[in-house]
Amino acid sequence: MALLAVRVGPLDLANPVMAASGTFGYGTELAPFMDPGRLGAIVGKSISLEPREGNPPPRTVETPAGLLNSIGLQNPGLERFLEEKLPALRAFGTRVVVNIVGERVEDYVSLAGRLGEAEGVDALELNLSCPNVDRGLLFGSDPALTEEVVRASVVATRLPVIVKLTPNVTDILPYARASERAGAAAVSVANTYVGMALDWRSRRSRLARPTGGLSGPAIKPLVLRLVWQCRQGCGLPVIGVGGIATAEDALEYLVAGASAVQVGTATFADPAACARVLEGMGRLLDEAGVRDVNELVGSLRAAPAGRSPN
Amino acid sequence: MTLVGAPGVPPADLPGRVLALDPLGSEAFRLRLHVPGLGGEPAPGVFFQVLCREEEARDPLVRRPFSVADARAVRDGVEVDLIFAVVGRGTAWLASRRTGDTVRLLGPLGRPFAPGPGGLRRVVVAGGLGVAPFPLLVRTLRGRQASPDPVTVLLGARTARRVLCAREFEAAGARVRVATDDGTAGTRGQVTALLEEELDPGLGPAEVHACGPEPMLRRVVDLCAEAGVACQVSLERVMACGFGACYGCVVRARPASGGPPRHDRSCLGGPVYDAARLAGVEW
Ligand SMILES: Cc1cc2nc3c(=O)[nH]c(=O)nc-3n(C[C@H](O)[C@H](O)[C@H](O)COP(=O)(O)OP(=O)(O)OC[C@H]3O[C@@H](n4cnc5c(N)ncnc54)[C@H](O)[C@@H]3O)c2cc1C
Ligand SMILES: Cc1cc2nc3c(=O)[nH]c(=O)nc-3n(C[C@H](O)[C@H](O)[C@H](O)COP(=O)(O)O)c2cc1C
Repeated sequence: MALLAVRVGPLDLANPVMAASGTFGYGTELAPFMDPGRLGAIVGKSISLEPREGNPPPRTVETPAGLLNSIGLQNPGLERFLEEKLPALRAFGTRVVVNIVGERVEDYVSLAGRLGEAEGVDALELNLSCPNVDRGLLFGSDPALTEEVVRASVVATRLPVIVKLTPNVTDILPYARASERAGAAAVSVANTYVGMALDWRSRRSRLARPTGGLSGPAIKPLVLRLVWQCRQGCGLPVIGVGGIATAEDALEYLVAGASAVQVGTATFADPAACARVLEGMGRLLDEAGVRDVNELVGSLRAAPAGRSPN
Repeated sequence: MTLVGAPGVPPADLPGRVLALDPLGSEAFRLRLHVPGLGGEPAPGVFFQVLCREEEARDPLVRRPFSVADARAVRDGVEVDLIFAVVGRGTAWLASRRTGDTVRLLGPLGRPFAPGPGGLRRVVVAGGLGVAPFPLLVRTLRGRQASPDPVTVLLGARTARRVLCAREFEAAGARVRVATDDGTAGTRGQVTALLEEELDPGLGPAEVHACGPEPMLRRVVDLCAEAGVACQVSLERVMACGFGACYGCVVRARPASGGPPRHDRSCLGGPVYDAARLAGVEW
């Protein structure tokens, strides 16, 4: 059996497969279909200081091999999360990453501080990249602001801080590097791409809001490249997230430079998708004679001169 | 606590085998599936998330929700019927299945209709394909006691050939009334006009179950609220997962425990809602 344990900065995981924020509820929703405890980590849906009602429906619409969503960060808020969601998340027995979102630097500081005191939280993931609320991309689309909010959060908590970057920028590297300077433990690459779907007859968006965030297989090649770019140009470990539906997809991310991966939208079509990716990963590595999954991380080779890469 | 599935039937991701795909009216189909491994007959009003593609394909990406139209426990599993029309890529794929093909089903999911205690006139209101959950509900209502409550099914459709399951409801012992937009069957006009007649207090206490297009359901909710008649409606919001993970399919409803309206995931809290939670709310 191939060794699957990985380290993401200070965070040690039993395996590289994590559940992505906003696609796994707070774990209990998936429990009827699979054992969330088998995963390397569970990332809960974004938590804000105060409860949020989110956007009006329709909130999702399918596009070719993709999904546009405009949930708008509906969540029960920090206090109810601590009371109602965290105990069950902890009980699964694997790493718990709490994804947090705020409107001001102080919000992230308060959230990071409180969660650092809570028992059973292994890391924070800062959502600087939600395209579905006004100003949701504020911190994630100005490297100076990214650095400021990450530094303030790192100072406010004992927990490792993972920064979830947006792909909706011309060049992602300044954001990864700003996170590194500010003391982040890793970057998650990436959140969703802003997109649209509309019905020309009614001249209406298919979502209640004009735009949404695109996820699923449609974005995989784009995010794979972002992960590779971050691995090349920044010293932080990278968590790859975008369009992973199979073990092959996940292994491609590792070769591109991800130390771990998150499975998101695939869970909607198959609630056991994370577990299936994990099982397939072990099998494929065994078949390929790879002893340790870490051998793959960042192992992309240059194409030999004068030959097609295939 | 997460509440998924019909009481007593744990939800699961199961392969169903196509027994038949029968045309229903001019536009719709009735898909009959044999689902080995399903733990029992789902309750009326619950749904399955149906994978409308080959498993290895990545498009159409997410599953499509369909109400359980009918279900029969058989020796090695359950036979499940779905009623649908082709409106897009997923339903087109479903309509191209042949006997013996496999279709993956996730469920049963959601909360079922919860008819009140016996002794009421049961009025079922179905608009178009909203008829889907009612064969099982009507059979359940009629089969409940030795002397079952009277059931009236009000069917609304655009035209006669789109009036679905009328004979089936009659065979189950229900009285059926029809309204069509063009008057080619039953009365001309909206099915909610028939409901107004049925809500006449002189006819005795009633309970209403409804499913159909949202404008119709809004009218049903309002009429029942005015008449003070208990009512449950089954809502069809666009869903991605169907089991509470995506927060996509929300409905603004008053919490069952009271208080101001909140976005409620209709795959967990619904699809069937007590109309009292929706009355007066912009849901
Ligand atoms: C709980 C629930 C139960 C349902 N039960 C049934 C049923 O028993 N029989 C049946 O025929 N349909 C039912 N529906 C609707 C059904 O899920 C949609 O018709 C189906 O998803 C369309 O898939 P498609 O790929 O063919 O169409 P798409 O290409 O996805 O869309 C085609 C058109 O259908 C509309 N549509 C997509 N999803 C929904 C939705 N969830 N509700 C309403 N319209 C939608 C789109 O806006 C679009 O205009 C139910 C929906 C829900 C939420
Ligand atoms: C319905 C939905 C809700 C999401 N909610 C969040 C969220 O609350 N916080 C967050 O950081 N990312 C959220 N995401 C983004 C995912 O975590 C992930 O970054 C993105 O979907 C790309 O991965 P995928 O293609 O595997 O889904 C959401 C994605 C979807 C589809």
